[in-house]
Amino acid sequence: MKLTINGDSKEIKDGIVLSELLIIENVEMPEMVSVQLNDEFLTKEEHAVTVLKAGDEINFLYFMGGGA
Amino acid sequence: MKEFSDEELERYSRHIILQDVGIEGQEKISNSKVLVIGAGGLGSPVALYLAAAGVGEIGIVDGDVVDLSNLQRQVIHATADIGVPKVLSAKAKMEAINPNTKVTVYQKFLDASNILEIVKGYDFVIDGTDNFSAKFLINDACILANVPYSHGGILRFGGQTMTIKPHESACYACVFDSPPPANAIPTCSSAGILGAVAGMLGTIQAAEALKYIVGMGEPLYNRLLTFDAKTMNFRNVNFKKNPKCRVCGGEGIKEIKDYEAVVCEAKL
Amino acid sequence: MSQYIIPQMVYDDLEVFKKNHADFLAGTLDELTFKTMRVPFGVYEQREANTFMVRIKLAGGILTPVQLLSLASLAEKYAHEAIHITTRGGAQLHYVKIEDIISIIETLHSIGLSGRGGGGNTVRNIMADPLAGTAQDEVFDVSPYALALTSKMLEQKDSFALPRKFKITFSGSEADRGYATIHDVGFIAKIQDGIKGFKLFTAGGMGAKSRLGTKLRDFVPDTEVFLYSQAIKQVFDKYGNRKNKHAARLRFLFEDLGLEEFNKLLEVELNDVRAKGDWKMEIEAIERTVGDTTHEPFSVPKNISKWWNRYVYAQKQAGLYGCKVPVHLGDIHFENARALANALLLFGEDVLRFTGDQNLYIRNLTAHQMASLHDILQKFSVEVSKPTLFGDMVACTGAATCQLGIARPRGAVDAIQKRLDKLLDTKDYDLIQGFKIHLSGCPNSCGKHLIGDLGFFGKVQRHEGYSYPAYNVVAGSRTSGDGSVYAQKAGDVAAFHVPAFVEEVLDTWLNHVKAYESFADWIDDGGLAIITEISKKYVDIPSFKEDKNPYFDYDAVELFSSKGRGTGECSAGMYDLIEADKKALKEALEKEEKDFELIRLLSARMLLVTRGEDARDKAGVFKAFKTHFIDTTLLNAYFGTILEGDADEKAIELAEEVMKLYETMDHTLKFAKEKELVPKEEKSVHFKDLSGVACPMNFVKTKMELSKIKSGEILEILLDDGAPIDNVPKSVAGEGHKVEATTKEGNGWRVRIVKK
Ligand SMILES: [Zn+2]
Repeated sequence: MKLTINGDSKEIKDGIVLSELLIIENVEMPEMVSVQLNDEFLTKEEHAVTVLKAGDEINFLYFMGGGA
Repeated sequence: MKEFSDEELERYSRHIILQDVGIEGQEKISNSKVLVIGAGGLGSPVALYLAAAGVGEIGIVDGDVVDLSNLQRQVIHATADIGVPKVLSAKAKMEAINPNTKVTVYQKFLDASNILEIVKGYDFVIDGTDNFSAKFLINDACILANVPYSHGGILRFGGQTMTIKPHESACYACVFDSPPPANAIPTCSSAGILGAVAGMLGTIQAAEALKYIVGMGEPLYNRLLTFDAKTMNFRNVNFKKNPKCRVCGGEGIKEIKDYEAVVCEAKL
Repeated sequence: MSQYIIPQMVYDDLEVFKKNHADFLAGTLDELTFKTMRVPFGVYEQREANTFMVRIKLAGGILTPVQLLSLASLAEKYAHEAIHITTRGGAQLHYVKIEDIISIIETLHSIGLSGRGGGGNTVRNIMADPLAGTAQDEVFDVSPYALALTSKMLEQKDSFALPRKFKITFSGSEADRGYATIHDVGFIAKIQDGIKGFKLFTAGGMGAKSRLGTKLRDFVPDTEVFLYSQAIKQVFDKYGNRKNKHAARLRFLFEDLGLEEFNKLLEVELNDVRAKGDWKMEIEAIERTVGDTTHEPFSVPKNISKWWNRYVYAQKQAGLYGCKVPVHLGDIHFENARALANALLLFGEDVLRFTGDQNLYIRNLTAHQMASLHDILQKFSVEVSKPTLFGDMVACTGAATCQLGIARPRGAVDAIQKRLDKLLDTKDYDLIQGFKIHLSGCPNSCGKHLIGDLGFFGKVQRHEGYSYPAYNVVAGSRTSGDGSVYAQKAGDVAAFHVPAFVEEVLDTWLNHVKAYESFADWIDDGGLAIITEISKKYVDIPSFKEDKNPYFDYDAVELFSSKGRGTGECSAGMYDLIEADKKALKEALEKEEKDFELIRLLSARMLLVTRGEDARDKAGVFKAFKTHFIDTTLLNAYFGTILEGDADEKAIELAEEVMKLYETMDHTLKFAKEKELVPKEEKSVHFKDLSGVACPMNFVKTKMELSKIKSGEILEILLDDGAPIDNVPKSVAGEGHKVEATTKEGNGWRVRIVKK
């Protein structure tokens, strides 16, 4: 199925949940990323139970704590 | 209506010529008060540009002294300033650029005991801090005090920023909820930062502050601008205010509490 | 040798100026304040950014070899290596850097020279006959009077804030070589009952409205030279027109008052000057201090005889000689100046003059001494080795640097000289020694065309819609204490054809020269008609398609255009264009089968030149017409609609309306309605003078002014020509304000803005 991940269109196997996608996409420390699915933010608890479907738009928002 | 002197007209001529700024906009800038928290990688360019722009009053907060390792990116400080409190070094540069700007220094780190009092007195706040407990504390304070601010974060080659108008646009906690556990996320001192990236993000924050003050354009409300200087890809991620936000949502927070300090130690 | 005396006040002011100068360099003093300080010291800004020129007063053009030596050093060190002789016989240093100004002024003071009152509305450098003290025909030496009067005038505070410039000169004889008859105040030496004195002329001058001076007194004793000069100056100061600088010179006041009324006012001022005392002038004759007085026998060596015959003249003092040194465009290289000064140091002090024809004269030398200078002088200019015709050509810079200029006369001079130079082997121009060709870029006479034998002044001609540079030709002037005559109009020629025209006129004159005493005599005896005939051959040019060259002026890289030319004193060229269109329009209106399109176009175009517009195609003409005549409400909006769509009989209404409007135009190119408009609305109009303010600060300041007024209110600003007028109205309109009108005012523009 086709997903839009961080703005890029990607072909990903069907029927996966969000937690799997985080692994497939090599997201470092998956528990520490804020995930937006079709404009809604997901809680950490929702990651394992959210099944993705074709056309979903997913944004990974990483913490950036630097500034000095 | 403020009557600008010839010196001021000439100094700010390139602003005044802009149709969106004009005399009226420059007058707003001259009457504005901006608090810059952190006189480091982000605070340096922000403070320089805001002073140059003629912001009437700039508060600058930092408890550190200038260190040799700062100079790779903290462009407001010079080699001769090593060992000098950062706020004093910054004040000197800002006043040198623009004597019309009044600079107030806070030579301390902000915490729950003092932040609200300071933030209240300003029209706009710049987050130029380097740790999550401070960033969330600033978010809380600005939401409580109802002062708009610009969030900024940088890491290695990347940066992110958003502008928050309390209770109207999404806040930092709407997106990131709460600080990551200690050691979970690297910060600059442990992971490194390309100096110029600090400049890129800081100048974006300065521009956001000026946009807000003048009331022009579209500030980064409800969107996070992220960029990666390695690819030079810039992205906007749009979102909405979270009605259930821990900080600005229905219940929201009622008082300021310190977050647990995050120890800067890289795991990666 | 005596010089004029610099008053103490100038030295005192210098101390203040030094401090201001330091502040200005440090950036703590603004440019405008600094300008008001530097101008009294003769320091003026040049067209080139950040360069200045220093004017130096040389009363009567007098300077000593020592002074010339110092000027040479200053030129070498600070001024691009050249000393410039001005049209009033003063000196100028060009391309001076601002940081060097104090050093230059101090050096000048150390040699007794000052720039006080060099320019602006002041008593200008007082001139004297170039041959004063040496001429065979002179009544007495007038040079000491130029010096003494300069000293007196420098002491008077009112000499530096007059309604306009004020020019004084002295001539030693009826030949009037000092041009007393075309000065504000002119003295011609005369002895009556054994007493030295002068014939006094006043209110003469050249310009768009030239006037020959009126003889005010047949005899004024020499002790009263200051008395009269000061009294006339006071009349001018009190009653001169300060509002309109184009009608400010004394001659306009004199015309307004008439001789009788002027004399009445003068009597009052004469009494006033007498009452103040100290009006009698002490005169110290100039003596030769050093020099050879033994006159050995001398015969002119063959190799220098041509030069000797052309330029050396025998003085009234037996055995002494003078010499004219033609200096190309008035510029002397410092090395030449130094070489000459060194040679002259041995021969005395009173051996030099700078003159108003921008040449240098040497005097009071024995024949041997003069001959010894030959080699040095050859280096001064190529003209030294040519017939006098070459060196005597005078030209202003014209459109090359002057905003009023129409044509570029210096380029024309080069072209004439090039052409004549090739003919030197076949034509003997020494037969017409002293023949003067003078060219001005516009009717303003800076090139003194009215006092040339053959004179030219720039005008605009049009051929098939394209403008091209051309000249009015004038001929046959005379100067004399008993009736000077300006050169008379003889015809028109295209700038492109000027060299060929000059050649043919000279050929014709060479054929007649033996039969007449002077060129002016020939002009009066049928010569004028002959020149007019010749000029007809040289006025037309090929079409733009056939040959573009005649459409470019000499040394010009851009196509000739009258756009942006000033409408100041220099409007005469504009009238030619208007009249040409008016004539064509009348012809078109009289035709049985009327060409409405042509009538419409001519009507719209006719008055555009008065607004500095030079549109070439129909669309451009219509657009400009709407901007300047409809949008400004000079004409009813209805007439704008006539320009829409196809032309029909309504074009006739437009033509009639435009011609009516033209009839209400005054000599400042303003229409009657404009004058009504201005005062009526001035009350509610906000105003800011932004002339002299560069881009983009003029726009910034405009925005500042607009921010102070309410929506719908009017702001009028004055802008400079060039980038300011090109950019600011556009930017203002871009912000949504309405630019109602832009009208030429002086050298700049008045822009009327309605705040959005
Ligand atoms: Zn929130």
